[in-house]
Formats: sequence, structure tokens, C-alpha cells
Amino acid sequence: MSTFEATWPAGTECVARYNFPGTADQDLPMCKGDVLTIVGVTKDPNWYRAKNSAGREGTIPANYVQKREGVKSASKLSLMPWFHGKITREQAERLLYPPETGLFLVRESTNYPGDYTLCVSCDGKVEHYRIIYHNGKLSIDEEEYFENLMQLMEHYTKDADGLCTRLIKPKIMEGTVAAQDEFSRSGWALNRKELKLIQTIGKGEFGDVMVGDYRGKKVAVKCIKHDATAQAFVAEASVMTQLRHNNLVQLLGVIVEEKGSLYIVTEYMAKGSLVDYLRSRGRTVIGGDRLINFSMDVCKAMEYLEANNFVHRDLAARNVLVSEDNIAKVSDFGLTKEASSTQDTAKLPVKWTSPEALREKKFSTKSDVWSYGILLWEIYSFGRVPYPRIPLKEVVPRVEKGYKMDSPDGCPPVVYDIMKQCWTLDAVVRPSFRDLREKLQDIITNELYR
Amino acid sequence: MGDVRERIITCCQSVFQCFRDPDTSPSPDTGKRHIEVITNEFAKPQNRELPPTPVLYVALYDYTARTDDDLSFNAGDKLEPITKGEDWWFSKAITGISANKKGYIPANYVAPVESLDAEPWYFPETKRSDAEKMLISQENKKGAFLIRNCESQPGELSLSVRDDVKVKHYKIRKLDNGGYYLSTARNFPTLRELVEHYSKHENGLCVCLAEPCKKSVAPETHGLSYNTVDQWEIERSSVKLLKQLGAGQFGEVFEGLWNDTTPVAVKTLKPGNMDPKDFLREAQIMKKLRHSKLIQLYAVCTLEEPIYIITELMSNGSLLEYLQNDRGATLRMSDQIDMGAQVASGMAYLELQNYIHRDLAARNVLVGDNNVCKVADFGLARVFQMDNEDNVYEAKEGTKFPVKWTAPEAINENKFTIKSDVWSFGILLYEIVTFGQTPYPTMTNFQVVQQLPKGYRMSSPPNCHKCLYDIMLDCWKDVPADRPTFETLQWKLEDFFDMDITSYDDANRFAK
Repeated sequence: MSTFEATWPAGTECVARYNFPGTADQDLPMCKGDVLTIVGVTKDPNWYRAKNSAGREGTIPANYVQKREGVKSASKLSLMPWFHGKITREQAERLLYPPETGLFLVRESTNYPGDYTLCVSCDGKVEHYRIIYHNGKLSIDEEEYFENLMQLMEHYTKDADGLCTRLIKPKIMEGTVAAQDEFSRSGWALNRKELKLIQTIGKGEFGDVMVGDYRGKKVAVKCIKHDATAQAFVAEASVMTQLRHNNLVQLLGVIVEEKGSLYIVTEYMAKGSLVDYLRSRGRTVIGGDRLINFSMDVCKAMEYLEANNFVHRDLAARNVLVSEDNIAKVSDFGLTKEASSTQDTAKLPVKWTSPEALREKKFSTKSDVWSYGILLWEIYSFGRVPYPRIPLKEVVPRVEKGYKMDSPDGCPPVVYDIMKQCWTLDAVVRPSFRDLREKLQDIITNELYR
Repeated sequence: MGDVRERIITCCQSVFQCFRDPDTSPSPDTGKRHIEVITNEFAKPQNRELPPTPVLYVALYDYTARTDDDLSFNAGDKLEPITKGEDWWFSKAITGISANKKGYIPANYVAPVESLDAEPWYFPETKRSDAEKMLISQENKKGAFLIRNCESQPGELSLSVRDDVKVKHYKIRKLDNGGYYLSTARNFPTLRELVEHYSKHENGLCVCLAEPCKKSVAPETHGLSYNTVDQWEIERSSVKLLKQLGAGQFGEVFEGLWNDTTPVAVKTLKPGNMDPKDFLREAQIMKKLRHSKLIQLYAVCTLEEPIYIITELMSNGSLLEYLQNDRGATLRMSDQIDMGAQVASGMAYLELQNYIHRDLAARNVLVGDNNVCKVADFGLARVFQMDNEDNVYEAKEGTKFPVKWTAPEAINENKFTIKSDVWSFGILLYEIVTFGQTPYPTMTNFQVVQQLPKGYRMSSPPNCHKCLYDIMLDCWKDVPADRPTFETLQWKLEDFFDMDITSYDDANRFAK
């Protein structure tokens, strides 16, 4: 029996690796795939006390479960770790040395720019197969066509089908980690067979959001079909594995299909996005107490991110979801980075992004505070688009000259004051989310939101 | 020689001036002292209060008396109120055609002399989009301007100025000590001084201020006269029916004349369709609803059949007829969007008042000059509905129930809410875009009722902007609570041509 490295602290999340019916009264039965929370240790170091999602407690054998951990090194995760980018034929041959039949990689073709080349080691030498792109599909033999690279690889992994050998082992690009393996190792991989997709509830820029059922539980599923865009969402999913807070939309797991589809499974938020909720319910349904509580919920989520050195970069009412019991939760971590990251971002939400972030790429908690001020304005104007009637290209010059949006109709002056503080041009002077939470708590305690 | 003379003369003048100063300086002091003594002596024994100065008002518009108790006046005349009601004041004319006469005047036609409201360029209730329309109209020229309240921030002001074919808007900022400014370089104690300054100097404006925007259209009075504000019921004989304008869901509509003076619209309700008591109860509520985009209910005649409903007259009749007559000849996409926004504005007011229309459609919107739209017939459906409770839905063409405009939950469960009105508004947008075509053109009422619960929705009409069709689809969401508020619909339509296509843009476009 192997020795476990360290004791798991209370609150640790685990995933059942096998079915365990229990052998004694104090045992907690579990099925493969169940998510459990460690409650504490027992006298026997091989057994823990745990609680299941229904709240039932009991003892579990440590070797039957896998600890769930946040997936770090997001930039290294890849759905196609065998893809090496633009390298020469000679470089590819050196990478596939020493020779091993079935060892393979994919590179961009130097002879045909834009096309790919599959390089396979076979019987001591390397064969190069051109991958032809035609009518939106990929093919090697021009008889069988595939939607994307991953489907093509999957096919030739099963059968040589005209190649010198079937694909057996990928040559992993240095510094890259296979996303599928990493999510499995960290306990976040879910079983596709247990996921039923029911209905589309939203259309994002890159894929649909669907309501589904996972092992009897209602869930929201972000479905990304094509490998090019799926890669971007791998990073988002890995960020979500590191975050846990009552006001952040909770990740339940990830499914990476062989064919290239990616499913990000999260808790289901019955009332949809905050911006749609505000625009549809309006003033006669949503009172001032609800508005201030939404503001507080978001603030708490952001305080958590602040404390854990994450920057959201896309905080807006469209990225806040509302639960059945009217709790607001921040979601959509596609642009979220660790605070130290200087990674570039292609597209930015201009009206929500602070001047120093737009102009100089200086993203920080304080640029999120700016966005929070815009979100507050959205909340109190019941979902209106910020900077009404000001064209996108004119917003930044105006803001840099000191322009601030007017207070929304009916907005309490104390809340408008907070907005203006968030829109201080000097980032250093802006309040922290912790400061903001204290201010909001004062407003709630003294009922100044009416 | 001449030069020398001139120099000598100049020197003499200088000396002369110096010489004169000492002589004149003692005189004013002596004079002042003398006057003060006299004033003090006289003032002390008097010790008597002066009577208060009457507050005079100036007429902003012409008004022709509608009854013998009214007072006629022209814009610019001065009047003194004697007794002030909420909407009508008993007043005495000081100047003008009715000088020294007394009578009732509409309160919203006058403003205190020398007050901000009396300024010809002050348009406090005008919205930004309306300001643009007024300034661009033919009556006004380059430099025409007005000052109005900011829509988004009560108490704040905006200056709107016409520059060739465009209108520019400038925020008027307030100083803590009560002054005003457009840019920090120049402060003004009053708005009048600000206007006077920028009438002479551009100083950063697109153009010097010229003439104030024409106040072409007098506002509607509140009520026909002072005594119909509180008395709903008027003598049937005081109303003359002139020309039939149309036949509506509940009766016929006529152009009429009240008291031989005032044009009105008269709706005659089909006999036997309602209990007058029910109607009067509803009318009590309807009369309290006041908004510039809602038809004003003036009075009723319920003592005999048919019941009369007296409302303000709109020159262009129903929106449905207006669209069908035009068919795109003069109305452009921007006009269509604007009309939709106006209807949404009226409905947003009803939404805040927790009032349901129940029969929103182009036939129940009336159009005045300059494409002004007003929602009409709000609440009438409920009064009729009560009598038809056992026969709410009839799946036949031409019945009372407007199936194609009605939300599924209202059809199937008789659940009318503001959200079923939103559904109807989506259909009304379709009518606007298609210039009055009947919705679901290839389907019967029965087919519509069958298909909607299965998720069927009308496809986009030809030449319809995708964003507008998206708004329609939002109105036709299956779950009523998920449909947008009228407040949301209003700003989406008002900002229609300014909306961002996406919230995201290329980051490199903004980087230094």
C-alpha cells in the first residue's frame, strides 16, 4: 500500500474513483464520480470522515477517492499537445528521435503555408504526410475528410488506414501539458455519458450555453465545438478550478472529447444574466434592497478574487448570473488572469475597461474596480448600456478628460458617490474591493439604499 | 507752427481738466449728505408697511376662450392670478386683448414674469430627441437653440443648438454658489447672462446662439375647462359630432366640437356592451393617468346610450391608417423607430403606474402633427372584458378578441399583465415596420393559437433591421417575466441608431 503524502484538511474536495457500498455502519457509501467534501481525519490514517452532496456524513477509504485540485499552469494546457507549430522537416525528424514506431507530431507545413503536416516515426525513419485543407475540411488521402485536427488524429489512432503505421504515442511539445490528462489528474474530468443536454438557453460568441442534467442535477453547460476556439476555453476552465466562493458561479467539471468538443459544466443559475434580469423585471419588480444586495454579492466575489490575486478583466452585468433565490454570482472567466500576468488580450469590453488598462494594458484589481463602478451604474439604471449615445471610439477620450456618467434615475446619492470613486482616473487612489464592501455594508446597515 | 499750436492746445486741455476736478469733487459729497438728511427725517415718522406687489404672469402661448368663464389672451400678455386651482386659474388680464377682464386660464400656458419659465428659449420638459426634431424643422435656422432639462438627471440642464443640419448638445454645469457654466473659463450668475454671452461669442460652441427655438405647438390643456377637471360628466348637448374618423373595436370615432369652440375626438361606444357604472369606475382611473404620450381623457357622457368618451383630437388619426396611407412615401426608418419609441414611452409610464392596456395595437395609437404618437383606449378592454368573461376567446376571424396581438397566456389563461402588453408591443413594431400589414399574414387566428405554444414566431419582415427584429423576439419570449420592460424598450428604441454592435473591440485600437 502506498503512503499518502499529506493529510487532507477539512473542506478538501474529492472525487470517488470507484463505487464503495460501505462495509460498516459508520461508512459513507459512494458511487464513482461522486463529489465529496472532507470533514476531518479519523484514527486510521487510511480513512477520512467525509460528507456527500446530500449532506450525509460517514467514513471513506482514502484510496478510493482522488483529491480535487486547482489546475494551474493554464498557459501550458493544450487540447493538441502534439501540435508543434511552425517547425521545419529537419526539426520534426530530430524531435522524433530516437525512433519509435507510432510516435507522431503535427507541424505547420513549410512547403504549403497554412497546411499541416503529420510526421510519424516508422521502422526507424520518419514519414511526412501532408494534411490538405479543402472546403472547410481536413484530409490526408483526399478520400476521408474530418472537421478538425483532433478528429483526424483520432481516426488514425484507431487504424493505420493507408499510413505506414497507426498513431500510437504523441510527441508532446515541450512545456505543454495535455488538457485532458491534467483535468483528469486534478479530479475535474466528468463522464460524458452521464451528461444529458436538454435545451439551448444562450448563444455566446463562440458556442452555445445549454441547460443539462448531470447525474440527476440540473446544470449549465458551455459547449464549444471547434478546436481553435476550444483552446481558449481550456484556460477559462482551468482558472475556474482554482476558484471557490458563494458569489462565483461554481465549476462542476470539464469534459474534453476525443473529437475536439469541450464542455464546461457549471451550476445552473435559474434567472439568467443580471443584465437580462434587470431589463425584464424593472423598477416595479426589483426594489432598492435587491439592487444593493446584487451590488454587495458582486463585491464579495471580487473581494475574493482580489485576495487570491486574480484579475477578472471582464466584469459587467452580462457576466453576472442570478440564482433562483436571487443571489448574484460572477461568471465568465474567459479574460481572467492571475494578477501578475502581462498576457495580451485581443478583445476588450471598451466601455467597462479602465483607461490605464485600455491604453497601457495595466490590468489590476484596480482596473476591475473601475469595471465594478460601471456595473453599479448598470444595476441602478436597470440594465442600460453604459455611456448612452456616446460612440465607442469617443468614450476613452472623454473619460480621460474627466467625463463621468450621470447618476441613474432614482439612484441613492451614496451609491453614486461609490461609482465616482471607482472611476477615479488615478488607479492607485481607487478603493479596494474590501473598502467597497465596507461602504456597501454601511449602506445596507443604515438602510441608505431607499 | 500748426503742430506747436496743437501741442499747446492739448496741454491746456490737460491742465483744464486737472483744474476742473477739484472744483467738482466737493459738490457730490455735499449733495449726498444733504439728501440723506432729508430722507432720514421723512422716513422716521412714516413707519408704514407697503402692500405686497402682485405676482404677474406672462402668457407663453395664445389661448382662445372655450367657455364664457374663460379668458382669451395672446402670447406676451400679462395676467394676474386671483385664485389658483391645480390646472386652471381664475385670473385678471393686465395687458392685451382682454385687459382688465377676468376669467379662467390654463395654468400650463403662463409663467411668472421674469422667471426662467418665461424665457422663450426655456423648454424644461422637452426630451433630447424632441429637441433635435424641433430645432431641425423648417421654422428654425442655424443658431436656433433651447435649454432643457437633462433626461437622465433631474435638475441638470442641457443646451441644444442647431448647426446647419445637425443639433449639438452641451451640458450646462452648475457652480456650488449658484452660477452656471459651459466651460470652466467662463461663469455666469444666471442662465440669461449665459445665453446673452453666447449670443455674441462662439467661445467653443458650434455656432453663436441666434433665435430661440420656435414654440410652434401650444401644449394640451388639462381638461376641457376648469369645471370639467372635476366633473367627468358633461352635457351631451355641448358636444357636436362632425365627421366620422373610423370604427374601432368598441365603437365609432368622430371628430367633434365641444361648446362650439374646442375640437375634440368623440368615441361612441356600442350600446349594450357595458355597464355605465363599470365604465365610470374605470374612467376615474384613466383620467388620473397623465403623460405626453397618452391620449388625454377630457370627459364622458354616460347618462344616455351610446356612451360618449371625449378625448383630445389627433390630426392624423390612428397609427394604422397613417402607416397604410403613407406606405413608405415619406416615413423613413428613423421615423418608424421614433414612433415605436414614443409608444414605448407612454407604455413605460403605464408600467410604472401598474396599469395594463390590454389592447395595444397600431389601431389604438393616434398620430398628431410631426409624427407625435399617443397611446389610446388604455383600459377599455377590461371594461368590455368583464361582460365577456364567459366568452373570452373565440377562434374565429373578425371577432372582438384581437388574437394575433394577444400574448399566449392572455389567450389561454386570461392572464393579462404588463408583460402581455409587451407581447402586443412586439406585434405593433411589426405593424410599424410593414406599414400597417396584418401580422401572421398567411395564418388564421386558429393556426396562430396552435403554433405559438410550440415555439413558432413570425419571421423577420422584409427590410427589417436585425436589431429591431431581435427586439420583437424579446417581446415574444415564452416566459412573460423574461420579456423586457417598456422602460428598456424605450431606451433601446431611442438609442437605436447609436447602439454598439458589440461590447468588445480590438484592444490595440486603444493602446498607446
